[in-house]
Amino acid sequence: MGMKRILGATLVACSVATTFATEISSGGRAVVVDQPSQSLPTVRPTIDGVHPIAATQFENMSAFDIGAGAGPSITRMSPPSNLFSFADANPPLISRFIAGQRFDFGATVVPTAGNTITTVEFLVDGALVPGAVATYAANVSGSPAGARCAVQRAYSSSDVGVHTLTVRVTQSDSSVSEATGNFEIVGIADAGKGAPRAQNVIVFIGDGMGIAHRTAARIMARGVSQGKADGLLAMDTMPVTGIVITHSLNSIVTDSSPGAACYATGNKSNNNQQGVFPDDTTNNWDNPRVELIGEFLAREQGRALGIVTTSDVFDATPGSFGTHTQSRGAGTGICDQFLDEAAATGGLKVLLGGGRKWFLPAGTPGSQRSNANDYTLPADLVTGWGVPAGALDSARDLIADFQTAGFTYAATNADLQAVAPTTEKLLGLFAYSNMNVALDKINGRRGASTVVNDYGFPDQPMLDEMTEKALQVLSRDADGFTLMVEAASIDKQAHNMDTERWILDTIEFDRALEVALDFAETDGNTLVVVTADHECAGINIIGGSRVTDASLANRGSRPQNGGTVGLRNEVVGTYEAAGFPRYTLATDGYPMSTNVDRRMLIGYAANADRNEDWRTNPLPLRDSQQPFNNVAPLNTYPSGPVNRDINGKYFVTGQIGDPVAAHTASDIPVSAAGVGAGQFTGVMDNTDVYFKIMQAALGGAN
Amino acid sequence: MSPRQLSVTLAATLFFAATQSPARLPSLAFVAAAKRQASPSQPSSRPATERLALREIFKMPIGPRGLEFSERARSLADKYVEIEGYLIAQSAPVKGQVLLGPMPMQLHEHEYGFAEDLPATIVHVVLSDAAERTFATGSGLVRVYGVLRLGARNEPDGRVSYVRLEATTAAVYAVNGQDASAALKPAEPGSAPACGHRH
Repeated sequence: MGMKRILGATLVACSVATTFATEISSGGRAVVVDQPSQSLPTVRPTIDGVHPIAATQFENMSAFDIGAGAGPSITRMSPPSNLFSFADANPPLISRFIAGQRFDFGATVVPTAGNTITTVEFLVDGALVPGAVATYAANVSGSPAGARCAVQRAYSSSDVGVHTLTVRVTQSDSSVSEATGNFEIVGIADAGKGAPRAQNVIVFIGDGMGIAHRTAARIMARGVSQGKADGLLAMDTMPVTGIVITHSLNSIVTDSSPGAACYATGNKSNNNQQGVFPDDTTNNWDNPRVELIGEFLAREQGRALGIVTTSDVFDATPGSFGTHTQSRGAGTGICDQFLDEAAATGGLKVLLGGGRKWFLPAGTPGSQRSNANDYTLPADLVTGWGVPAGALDSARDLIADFQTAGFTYAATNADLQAVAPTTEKLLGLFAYSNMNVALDKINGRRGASTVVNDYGFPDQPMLDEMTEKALQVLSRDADGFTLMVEAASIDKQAHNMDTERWILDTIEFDRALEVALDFAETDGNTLVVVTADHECAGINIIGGSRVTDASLANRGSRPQNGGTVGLRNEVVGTYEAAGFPRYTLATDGYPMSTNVDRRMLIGYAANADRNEDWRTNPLPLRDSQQPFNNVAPLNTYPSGPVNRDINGKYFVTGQIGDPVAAHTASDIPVSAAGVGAGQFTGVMDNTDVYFKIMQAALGGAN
Repeated sequence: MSPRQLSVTLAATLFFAATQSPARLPSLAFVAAAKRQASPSQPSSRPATERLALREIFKMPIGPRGLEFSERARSLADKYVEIEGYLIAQSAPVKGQVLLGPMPMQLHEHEYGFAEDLPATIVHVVLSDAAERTFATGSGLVRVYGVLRLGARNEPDGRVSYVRLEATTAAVYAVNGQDASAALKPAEPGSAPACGHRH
C-alpha cells in the first residue's frame, strides 16, 4: 500500500472496493508529497483549523489544486488541531475540553470534478461516532463546486486524554478520503473530601487592560511617594498574579471575541467569532459550537449566570459569555439568543449594560432591530443542542419578552437601586448603545458636565453599582453562579488614545472589583479572577509633565508655543524629570481633576496618527445642541485623534495606518483571589484560564 | 441677476416651499443652486427657516423604552428645516449620505460594528445630488438645510434611520466662518484604511 501525506497530516483516499488503492492521493495534486520522511515546514503558515494547503480559504486555488485527484479533499477540520494542519501530534493541543463539555465536529470536504460528496463520518479513536452528520454547501468566496461543510453536533466525552478525530469522506464514485486531527479531554482533579470548591466564579475582564493600564490607574488613584506606591488597587491586593498569552486562532493579535470567548469555552476561535469554530459558510449561526462555561455549569449543576458590562450588551465580550456566532456584529440575533438560549437553558439571570436599541421592536424610534442581523438556526443544530430555532422577528419586543420570562427591568440607576432583595432575574439597559464612560458619568453626577444628559441617559449606574446588584440577585441562587463583569471602554477609549477616559474606566473597574472581593471574602466559596482579553494600544507611562496645567493649556492653544519643542521637548519629563504626578481623589473615589500640574504622560506604541496636547478632552455637546446660541462652537473638538488638540501643532506620527490605535499581542496580567486562586501563577495560555476556573469550580482546590 | 434680486428670488422660493405639501416642494437642486449663486459662505443671507436643534427632535431624557418624537419635530415633519451639528466621520461612509450628530465623532464601523458611542439623536442627511458619492467630513460645526423626514427606514449600512434630512451638498453650510469645503469633501480613494477587524 502506498501512502502519501499532505504536509504530514494523514490523508487516505481509496476505492471502497479495493480498500486501499495503490495510488493514493489526497485529491490535492499540488500538495501531495511523499511520506514518511516529509519534514515539517520550518515556518508554519497561518492556521485556523484549516489545512495549510487550504489556508487561503479556497481563494487562488484552481480546480487542478482541489478536486482534481482520485478522491475528495478535506480542507478543514474542527476542532482545529496541529495534527490535521501540520501532522504534529505533540503538545500544545490546540483544542481541549473538560469532561462532559459539549462541542461539535466539523469538516470542509471537496469532491473531485464530476463527483458529489455522498457521506461524511466522524470517528474518535477509530470508532464511528453515532448520530447524524449534516452538510451545508460551502459558500465563502472561492468555494469549489460541490464543497460541503459537514458537522456533527453536541459530542461530549468523559474519557480523559488525547483522542484522534478522523473524518471519512465518500464521494459519488465511491472513492474515500480520510484525515485525522486530535483533541484532548482534560480531567478535573478531585481535590479531596473537604477541599473547598468555588461555588461561585466571578470573572472580571478589563477589556484591553494591559499591565500599563493598571499602573496608570494606580498612579492616578493612589499616588507614589519616594518610590513607593501610596496605596494599591484592589486588583493589586489579590494574592496570586500571573501572565496570560492572548493570541487567537488566526492571529497573534486577537480581537475581543476570541479574546473573551477563550475564557468561556477553553478554546481558540478566529477573530470576530465567539463560542464557535470557523467553517466555510457565510451563515453566521451554523458554525460548529463549543459549550460555554455558563451553559455547562447551568446544565450540570444548575448554576446561574450573570453578564455585566459597560458596553452595548451585544458587544464581543458579553456576547462571548452567552451566545454563539461567527459574527460579533449580529446585534439582533445575539440579543435574542441571550433570552432564547442563555436565559432559557444557560442559567442567565442577570444581564446589565447598554444596548437598548436591540431590544425595542422595529418601528419604535431608536430600534435597530433588523432581520439582516437576526438569527435562525439550522435544524441539525436545534436538534443536537436542544435549543430554539430562533426567528427573523425584528418586530419582537425583547424587553417585554424578558419581563415575561421573569426578569425585572431597570432603565436607570434609580431603577437599579430600587431592585427588590427578592428579585430573581434582572435585565438592565441603561443606554442606547455603549454606556457613557466613567469620566462623563461621574462629571454628570458632579454637575460638571452635561454629556450624559445630552446622550439622553442622565442616570446611568457606575460599574460598582451594577456589580453590587448583580451579586445581590445571583447570590440568591443556592446552586451558585458564574458572573462576568466587563469594563468595556478601557479598550474603546484606549483605541481613541483618550488617556483620562480609559484611566478613569480602569479606576471604575477596580472599584467594581472591590465590591466582588468583599463579597468573596464574606462568602468564602467564591473564586474571583481579574484579567483582560488583550492589551490595547501599546500603552505605557512614558513619564510626567515638566510644566503646570496652565502652561500646557497655553502651549496647546497657541501654535507658536506648542509644536515638537513646546509640547514635547519642553514638556515630556523622563526619568527623574517625571517626578511623582499627584492627583487628588474626591469623596466619590475619582480624581477631583485630571488636569493637574505635572501630570502623568502616556505613550502609545500601537498608535494611529494623532495630535497631542496632553490635556483631558472635553465633550462640548451642549454647545452644539443649543440652537444658534451665539456661543462659539468648539470646532477643534475631536472627531478623531488627528482632529483634536490641533491648535498646539504637535503631531505624533502613528506607527499603524488605522485611524485609531490597535490591539497588541503583548501578554496581559491575571490576578486571582478566593477558592482555587493559587493556580493562577506563572505564564499561561488564555485558554488555560478556563480550565483553572473549572478545576476550582468542579474539582476544588487545596 | 443682482445679489439682491437673487436673494428675493430665493426668499420667494423658500416661502413657496414652506407653504406647500411635501409632494409639491420645489427641487432641492434648484434651491441649492440659487443659494450657491447667492453666497455659500453667507448662509445668513438666506431667508429665515424653521430651525430645529438636535436635542429638540426627541423627548429628553430618553424614556425606559424607545425614543419619542417631540411635538415640535412632528410639526416640522416633511417641511424645510435647518439643523446644526457635526458631520460624523465614518470609516465606512455610505454613498449619498452623511450623518449629522451633536458632537464631532469618528466612527469605525469595520472595527466596532454597531457597538458604538453614537448618540441616538443623529440625523441621516440624504444628499440627492450625490447619490453615487461618498464624503470625508471635517470636524467643524455645520448647518444643514433640507426637508425633515421622520420614520423608520433601513439604510444601506445596516442602520435603521428615524430622522432624515433630504438635502443637497450645497445645503451644507459651515458655521462661524469655517471653511465650507472642509465640512463636506469627497472621500479620497483609499483614504479610509481598510481595517477589516473589530475590537
